[in-house]
Amino acid sequence: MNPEQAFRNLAGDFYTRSLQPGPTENTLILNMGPQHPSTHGVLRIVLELDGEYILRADPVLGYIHRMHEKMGEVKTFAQYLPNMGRVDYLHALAWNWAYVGAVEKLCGVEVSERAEYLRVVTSEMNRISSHFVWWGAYLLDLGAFTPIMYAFDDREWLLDLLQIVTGSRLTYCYFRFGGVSDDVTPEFVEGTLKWCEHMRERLPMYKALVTDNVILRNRCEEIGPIDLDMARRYGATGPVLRGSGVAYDVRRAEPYSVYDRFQFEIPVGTGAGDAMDRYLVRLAEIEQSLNIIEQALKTLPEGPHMHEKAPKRLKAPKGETYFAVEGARGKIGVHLLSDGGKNPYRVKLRAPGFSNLSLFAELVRGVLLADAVSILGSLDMVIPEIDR
Amino acid sequence: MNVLGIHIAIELIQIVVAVVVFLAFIGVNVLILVLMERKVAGRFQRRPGPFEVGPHGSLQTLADAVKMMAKELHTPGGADKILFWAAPIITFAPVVVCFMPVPFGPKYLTGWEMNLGVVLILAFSGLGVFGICLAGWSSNNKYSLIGAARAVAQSVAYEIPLLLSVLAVAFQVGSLNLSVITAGQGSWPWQWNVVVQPLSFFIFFVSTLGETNRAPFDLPEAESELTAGFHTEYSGMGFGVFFMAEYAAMVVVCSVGTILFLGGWNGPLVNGPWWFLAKVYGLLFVMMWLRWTFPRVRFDQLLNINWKWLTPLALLNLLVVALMVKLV
Amino acid sequence: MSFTWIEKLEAEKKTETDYRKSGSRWEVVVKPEQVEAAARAAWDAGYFIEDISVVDLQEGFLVVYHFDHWQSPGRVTFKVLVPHEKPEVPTISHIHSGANWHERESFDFFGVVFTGHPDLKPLLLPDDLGFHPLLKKPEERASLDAIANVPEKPQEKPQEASGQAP
Repeated sequence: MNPEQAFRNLAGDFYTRSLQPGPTENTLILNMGPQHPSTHGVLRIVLELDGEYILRADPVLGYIHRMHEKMGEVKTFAQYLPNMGRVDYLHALAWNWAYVGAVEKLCGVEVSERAEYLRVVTSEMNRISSHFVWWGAYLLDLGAFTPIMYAFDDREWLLDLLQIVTGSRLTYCYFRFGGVSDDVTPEFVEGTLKWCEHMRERLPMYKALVTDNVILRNRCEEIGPIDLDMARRYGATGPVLRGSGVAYDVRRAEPYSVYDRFQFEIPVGTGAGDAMDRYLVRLAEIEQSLNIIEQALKTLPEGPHMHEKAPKRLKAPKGETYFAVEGARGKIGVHLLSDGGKNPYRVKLRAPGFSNLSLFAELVRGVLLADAVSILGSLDMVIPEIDR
Repeated sequence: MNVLGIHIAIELIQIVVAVVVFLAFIGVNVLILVLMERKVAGRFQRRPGPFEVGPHGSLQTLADAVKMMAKELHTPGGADKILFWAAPIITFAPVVVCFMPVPFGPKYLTGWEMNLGVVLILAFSGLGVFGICLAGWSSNNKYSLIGAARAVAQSVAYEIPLLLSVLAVAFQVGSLNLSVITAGQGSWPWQWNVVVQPLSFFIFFVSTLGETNRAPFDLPEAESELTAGFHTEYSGMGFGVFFMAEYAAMVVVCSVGTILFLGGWNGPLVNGPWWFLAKVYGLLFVMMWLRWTFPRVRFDQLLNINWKWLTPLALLNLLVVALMVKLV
Repeated sequence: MSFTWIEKLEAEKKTETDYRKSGSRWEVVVKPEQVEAAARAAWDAGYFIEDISVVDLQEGFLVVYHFDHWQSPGRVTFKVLVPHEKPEVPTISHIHSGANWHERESFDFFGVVFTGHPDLKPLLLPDDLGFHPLLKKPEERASLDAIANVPEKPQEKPQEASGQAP
């Protein structure tokens, strides 16, 4: 290459240059990503390092930006449904729910009771599968190669169950306006209850093998403490917030669907809101989701899986509405505006990962590089959700 | 030609033959060890490991070796060509030398009988650090640089408890000659040095994990943090040589551990090189077991373990052994 | 849950909205220069920033702020209308740090400039894109009352037991 090209490469790009050199001369500007094994998607973080300590961090987003919000304006309400499965593919059913719930709220569509229960069951199963992926990937980042295999082993059974009822393994598009697309078979109900029992026996093994391991504790304790002030300033939600001790869960704070009929606890962290607290909160959430699934399946009412008055062609009135659900990563919100046409006028997707990642830059100042990897894993990012 | 000249010639031939034999030994060992690691990893992770190539996947490593040799040797732009390609060789060469004083069996199965076998091994295993440092520096890659810096700090740090624990055994036996140390231990497990000095064995084993960059101390090659650490930019046989050097180093340290603590080629019924190999592979299995079970220790915690725990413990151990030797 | 802090705010128009239909308890329309005071009042009352979104209308850009609270379902919406020719709103990122990224995204998609923002560079789009994707063509824009007719809270509201679809 000619010297000019070579020099351009050395100078970095717009984002590297915008991180001006810091106070000392001996700093190194390093790009973590966008191709990197532990950034969980295409995230690029421009780091300024002094040895192994991070002086400044600047996440650069947009490598998987697909402009979902524009797609919402050019597709009809029903055509936009599959998009929701691709926003956060790990907890696709929660995004399904957020959008479907917003449309139902706007148009005044009622949901059949059996469908509400099915929505709860499948969404909680999806939450557990998302937490398995998080757990395995987090430990993989920390260097333990085996737990991800065990987690994916259990997850396979779960995905097979969900495939029976939704037809997909990952990017679900199961919810419809007024209900769900397919009813469940008794085979599914029995299989899921058996799987719940199996999981309850497996969770103590996870704890003994991994959670109680002293090396893991040293990698997670006192790493990345998020205090309440920081959590509120950035709008953090989900396990990131609950790890800091705030019992804020959308299923209790803004109850939707039939969640108030089930007994479940909201696990919170008891320490300084460090990575270990977030870790323990997510593992406890798996157990609570198992409780919800079992209760819902045992009291599943009979009835149609779609409401009789569910419209075949959706006619949206003028207006705006906001609907929020609790996803695996936090509070998912959809702000929907319609001008009476076939397509939505504006769909704003509020991703929990977006707010959770925005506190990374401040959290990671002065921290070792290896700890930054641990912090990033404990925040549980799925970059497609952040970039949309 | 005088007698001295003939002696020198014979010794030269002996050294060359030994080096060739050890290169072959390393080659075969690496083939077996890589397969063993992948099968062991698979079984720990509830899957069978390589299964397609050859019966039960036994020819997998051969296929991988052929593939690696066929790959393009690419030098990254801006890298220092000479240093870049010298680094793997500098890392690999000392390991071959380390096999010289190791007694594989009772008679004549040593590369080169020497009185200071222990010193030779310790000295040459320290040389491998040079290669890693050069690899990281000459790659023109920030990740490699950080990985190399970590590797150097780690290797240099963990040499000290290694040295001290080996010295403890040397004190007890009174010699640095590996054959003498082996011969001093009996055939049955309770006659091996590990029974007399279990703490030394523990310190030795942990230090070797640190020396050979094996998990849980494998930060220099931390795949999930630095992509691949100091060997990020190497492709094909360049990486293959680093790979071989790592596995060969593992075999060296396990051999030393076997000789010092587990009785070398001594065994219950018939002494011989088969017992030696069995024990070496047993120690290698434990190393692999640890790798696939534990997460990685963070870098400053790793150095803390060494400087704050292992080194004082090793010093104390040495002192106690010295006292015991003097008094008993 | 008391909303006295809203009553003390300086704003153009305050409406208590039907939470069941719109998802928001109060809708407060403010002028651009009143945004910062409103955000500070929200912070002091214990609210956190949920998101900031922009809607492209005939009258201008409608910047919508959603604030929520940990202790109660009390989402509060602030709306600011700025003209197309001069789409400038003061930033609130010095009070609510999370707004930093939300404002960068709004600038990316619509070109709304948040004055006083420390680093208003593109967040999701390439830095050399040259246009703002979510802008609507003038003939496609709807008017303010055509879309945002958030219903006012009905006077006598029967307290239905929760368990119904919202």
